[in-house]
Amino acid sequence: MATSKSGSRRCALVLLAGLGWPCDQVAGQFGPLLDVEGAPQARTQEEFDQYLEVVAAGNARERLSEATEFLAAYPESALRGLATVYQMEAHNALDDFVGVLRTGEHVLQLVPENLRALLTLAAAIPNAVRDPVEDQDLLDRAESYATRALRVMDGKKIPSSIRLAEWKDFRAGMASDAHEALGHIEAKRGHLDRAIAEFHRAVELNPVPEGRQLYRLGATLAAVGRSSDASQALRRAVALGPELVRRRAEQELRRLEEPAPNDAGQ
Amino acid sequence: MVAMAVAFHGGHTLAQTLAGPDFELPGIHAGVDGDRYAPRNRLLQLIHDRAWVEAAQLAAKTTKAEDTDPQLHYLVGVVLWQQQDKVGAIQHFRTAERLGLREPYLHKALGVAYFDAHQFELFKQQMERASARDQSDPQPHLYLGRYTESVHGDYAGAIRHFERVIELDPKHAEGYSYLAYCLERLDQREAARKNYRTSAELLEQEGLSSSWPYQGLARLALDSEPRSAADWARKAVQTGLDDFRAHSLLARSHERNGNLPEAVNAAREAVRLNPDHAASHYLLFTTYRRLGDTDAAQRHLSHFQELKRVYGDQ
Repeated sequence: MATSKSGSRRCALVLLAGLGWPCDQVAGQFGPLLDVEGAPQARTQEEFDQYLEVVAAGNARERLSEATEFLAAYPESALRGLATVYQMEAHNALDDFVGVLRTGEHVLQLVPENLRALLTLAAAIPNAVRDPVEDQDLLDRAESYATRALRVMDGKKIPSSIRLAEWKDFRAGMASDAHEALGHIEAKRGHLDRAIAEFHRAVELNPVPEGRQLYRLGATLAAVGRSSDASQALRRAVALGPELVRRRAEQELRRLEEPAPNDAGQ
Repeated sequence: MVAMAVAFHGGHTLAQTLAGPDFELPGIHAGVDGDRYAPRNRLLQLIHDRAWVEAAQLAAKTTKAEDTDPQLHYLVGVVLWQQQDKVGAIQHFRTAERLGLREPYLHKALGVAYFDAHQFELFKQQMERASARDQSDPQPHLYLGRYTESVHGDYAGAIRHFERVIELDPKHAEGYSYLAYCLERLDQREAARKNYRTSAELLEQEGLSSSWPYQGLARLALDSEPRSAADWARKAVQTGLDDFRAHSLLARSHERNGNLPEAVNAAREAVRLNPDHAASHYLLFTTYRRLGDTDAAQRHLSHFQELKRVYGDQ
């Protein structure tokens, strides 16, 4: 299941350029900055014009192309970290895992505490892992990104232009994403009890309930035989959607409601 | 022409100050080739009338590739800015510039937009261009001063800009207030007081009101003349009912005068207007504690501590 999110919850609130959190609705370097004086500066109007083409791109393919052009034209630009975040976002929207991994890790070289990159990588890696033994190293990296994200957001100082209540929601949403990623990683490793605990935490923290998290929780509960709890979570997932989540949750519910093979013979 | 309105609040960052400027507008084009300028004139009229929905619909039909009228692009930028599409606004301002528009109003608008995008070097360039095009205009110097003071905390540098504002327009009330604020931050208290007073007098002469100079006068009197501070703070509240800073100052002056219940009321109003105002929560903590209400004191202390943890010492 794709882990890319609309991001509207977060983006509607704020773009913290210090966190590098671009999205469709908000420009790359607009909104309050933690360190206004240290904001990355374009050297020329032309450089900023081209950066804005990345920001204003209408879809992921266009954005990827604009970001690639920008980075080729201005390899030393102070805005390259933000442009690379856009590249990573575009790869993520296109379900291009290799691209997400390459650009996300490049963002972290440029801006080691970039929460967007940390959370995107933590979510994308377990999605792509098919063989948890062979890809153990990848899962370990994903875990380190998720835990680093939690550490970074805890210590983050925010600009006074963001209301405390808004920040709490924003932070809770990000923490929820990090715990969901940790749950997914543990599920891939086969540590289902740990996965359930992380998915539970993700659901509890999220200020806006998400169908996908409830589906993951429900499916994992079902896998350990906690049918009643599983049904409850899956029904909520059905109610919340979106369509893909609804279909999968319904499928899982049907499986739960099917009589066990032993019963069928009786 | 609509002047670029700058919210007259000290202590705000320039980005907050410039959150919703009314950009200056060109005149209606009445040339013989009037048809060519019909879209521009129509859009201009809609902007004058503040008919933003219709203006946005008309602006949406204007494309970078097809329209070669720079003033039309400028106006589209104004509309997009008003619609919070700041990227689109910058792109249209830039198209206007590339098409040859060199009016000071374009440079000021583009400068403000760059500032909003935290592109300070480009902001400065535009303000310098605006100033070079119209050397009698104090506005670019006001913006440069606000930038120097709010982004860099360079009060001495900002003073030079505000002095230039006043030189160009000796009745510029905002210029006096911002000058006073910088002097206050440099602890030049007498000079600050004098300039706040001038600002207040100019505003009164114009029949305008702003809380800011009275807040400055209240702050300056707080330690040495708490009664006078309370008078200025009352005036600051009268002229800025929705300004939490004015209420916070009134609370502080009441507290200095030993009027604790009044201090509580004013501080509560300040946190009602801005629930995240750490100084008012701290004042409520200390005042409630003196009044013996330990529960309320503890509540505000906890809130204060959380705010400090999240915001640091901003």
